[in-house]
This record gives sequence, structure tokens and C-alpha cells, in this order.
Amino acid sequence: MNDALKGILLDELEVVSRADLCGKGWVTSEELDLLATLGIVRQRGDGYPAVCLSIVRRAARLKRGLEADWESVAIIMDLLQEIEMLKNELRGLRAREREGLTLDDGPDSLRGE
Amino acid sequence: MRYRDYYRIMGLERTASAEDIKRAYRKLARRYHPDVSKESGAEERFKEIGEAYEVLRDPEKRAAYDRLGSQWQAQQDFTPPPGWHGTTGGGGGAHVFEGQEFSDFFESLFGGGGRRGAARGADESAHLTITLEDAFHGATKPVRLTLPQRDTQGRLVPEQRTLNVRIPKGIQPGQQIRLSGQGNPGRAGAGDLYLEIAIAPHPLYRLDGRDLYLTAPVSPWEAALGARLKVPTLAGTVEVRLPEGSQSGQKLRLKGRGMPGTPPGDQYVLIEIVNPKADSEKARELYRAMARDLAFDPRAHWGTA
Repeated sequence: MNDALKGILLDELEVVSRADLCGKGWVTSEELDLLATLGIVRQRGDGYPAVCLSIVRRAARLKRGLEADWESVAIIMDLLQEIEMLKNELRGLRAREREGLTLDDGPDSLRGE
Repeated sequence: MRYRDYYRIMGLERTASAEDIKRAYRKLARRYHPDVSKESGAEERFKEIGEAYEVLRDPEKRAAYDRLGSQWQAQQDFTPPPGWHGTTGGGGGAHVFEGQEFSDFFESLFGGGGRRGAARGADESAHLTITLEDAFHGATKPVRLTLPQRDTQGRLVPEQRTLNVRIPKGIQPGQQIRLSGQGNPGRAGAGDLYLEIAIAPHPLYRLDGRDLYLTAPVSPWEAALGARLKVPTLAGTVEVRLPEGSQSGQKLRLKGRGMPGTPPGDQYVLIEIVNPKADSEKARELYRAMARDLAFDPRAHWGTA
């Protein structure tokens, strides 16, 4: 067992440089600018939020794997994000439903006029 | 090493045209791309498909592969023919997933030159499920990985590795931690490891963003008369005043008692009134007394009385 490794948390607070994003062979500098134009990444000051590392990696993987252009990748990423958001919302709603009391006595208990 | 039937992997006849190959790849990529696939084992399958496409899309590599003949069976023991001369330089590896290591079979035929950014090892992804307590306080967790390593003869062999990884407090489900140099080895350094965090469901708390929700069962008299409740939070028990006249479904907010962050989340305590069972004569008498003495019709607004 080795000592504890401390990685970088890919969130909105940590900042990575342009070189970090372009130095992996995922995207060129021009492609990164295009991703910013398409709204896939956004700049913060001189750098980018660290979460852009996972975003750019995923975008490059989709482009390469699906032989898609960047515009299509942007749409796919938006849809994937929306699916993820809806899944989370559904999970939350289901959990809330489990928390609530459900009275289901079945049709025998109904006494309609 | 094992022979790989690239045509079979892609569901193609050996006579497939370049257009057939492209079409088959696109269909398979749509199905198995790990970012869009729901299939189990999609990542492994996609790597296999990527390697097959790398060979079949390149006329030179495909011709070299075809020269091996069609008598080979998938998974059959394979050694390149004496004096084998494949192609050199690879093809840029444009379709290979994450600059993966190719199989021994591929490398024995075409060398390692096909790998994108051949000198650097490929990045790797892994998932880690932690408890809500670990996410709240931060923790050091062991992560077990199986990564290919080269043995003394340069062959790729799977090797088990355990890393102790520091999980920062306040981490959210779906967030990733990048561990530099902990991915696949390469001639000019190892790739990175991207660790995606999931948080296991908790028996008491529900997580929504940075907020925590906890259901507090209370008795009817606590709800009616007010009470001081001892409420668990992830940082320890706190005393909370339940106002008199509380009803089921109402929420108490404990500001800043949710998941750490900037700003931290809140903890919500959902009030749920639980009625005592009328399982004794004494209990039934108390209910009858309430029915008699309290002018209370919870369905008055229906107008059906």
C-alpha cells in the first residue's frame, strides 16, 4: 500500500491552464477556441475551470469515436447533460416518493356512491 | 498471443468494401461508445472495435492483415509468419479510444507506432463509490485497478494495483479526480487516471445538490405542542426546536449543515407525524376523547360533510 495520493478535483473552483487542456492531444488550440464558441467550455480569467478537463476529454472522445464534427459533439454533450440532469431529478423524486406515506388499499376499499 | 478476427469483431465479411467498413464502425460506435452506451462492458468492446477499425480502414494495414489468410480462427494461438513484414508508421490511431494500448496481436503485426501520442501512456478511467460520511468529512480510500503492464519480454500483462486516494471533503457524485501519472505506462511517462465518484444511498439522508434531507418522525403531541428534537447531522447531533402546530410535510432548515462547499449546503428536516397505534383500550379511549372533545374535521374543505 502506498501513501495517499492527492489528485486534482475537477470542479468549478480549481483552475487549469490552456496548456493543460491542449497538451493532452485531445484538442488543438484552435479546437479549444471552437469549443468555447460552441459553449462547451468557458474561460475563467486566464484559465478554465478544472471541470473542463473532463468536459474536453469527453468531447474529444465523442468526436473521435463517433466520427462527428464539433457542432454535433456540442449537441450530443448538451443532450447527455440533460439526460443526466433528468436522471438525477427522477432519482430525487423516487426517493421523495419512498419517504412519503403511500396508502393503497386497493379497489376493495372503495365505496363509490 | 491470440489471433484477432477483425472482420468478425465488426460483423463484416472479408469482402466488405471501405464504405461497408465505415458504416459498420459508425453503427457499432453508436452502440458501444462508452459515453453514450447503456451496454455492460461497452468500454472493452469499444476498444476492440477501435482496434479492428484501425486496421480495416487503412488499405495498407488491411492488405497486410489479409495476407495472413482466412484460415485463422478468433482466439487461436498466433505467431507472425517468419520474416513477417507488416506496415510501418501505423495510421495515427485516430479512432482508438483514449489512445489505448493495442493488443499484442496488433503490435506484433504493425508495431506500436499506430498509437496516438505513442510515447505517452493512455489515460484510464475508474469509478469509486464512497459513503455520504466519506464525502462529508473527506477520506482516504483504496482504489483497486487492473492495468496492463509490460513484462520483461515486453508483453502486455494485466497487473493489479491498489492506490490510496485522498477524497476531498464535499465531493459531489459524478465529480472526477485526476491523478496524474497513474494511468497506463508509456515510454515518455504514464497517462493519468480519472476517478469518477459515486455516493452510495444513505439509510437516513437524501442528497440533493449540496443539501441534505432527513425525515423526522414526530408524535402528534410534539407536533401540536412544540418540542425540542435531537436531530442527527453528519457533523453530529444538534437540538432543534419544533414549533407548536407543526404539520407533516413541513420542513425545518438547518442552515449550513449540508455538504461542505462554497457556500455549504443546508440540511432540511422533513416533519412526519406518526400516530400511536390504537392497540389498547386506554389508547382507544384517548382517541375517542379527542374525537369527542376536539372540533376537528380534516376534510372540511371538501364540503362533503
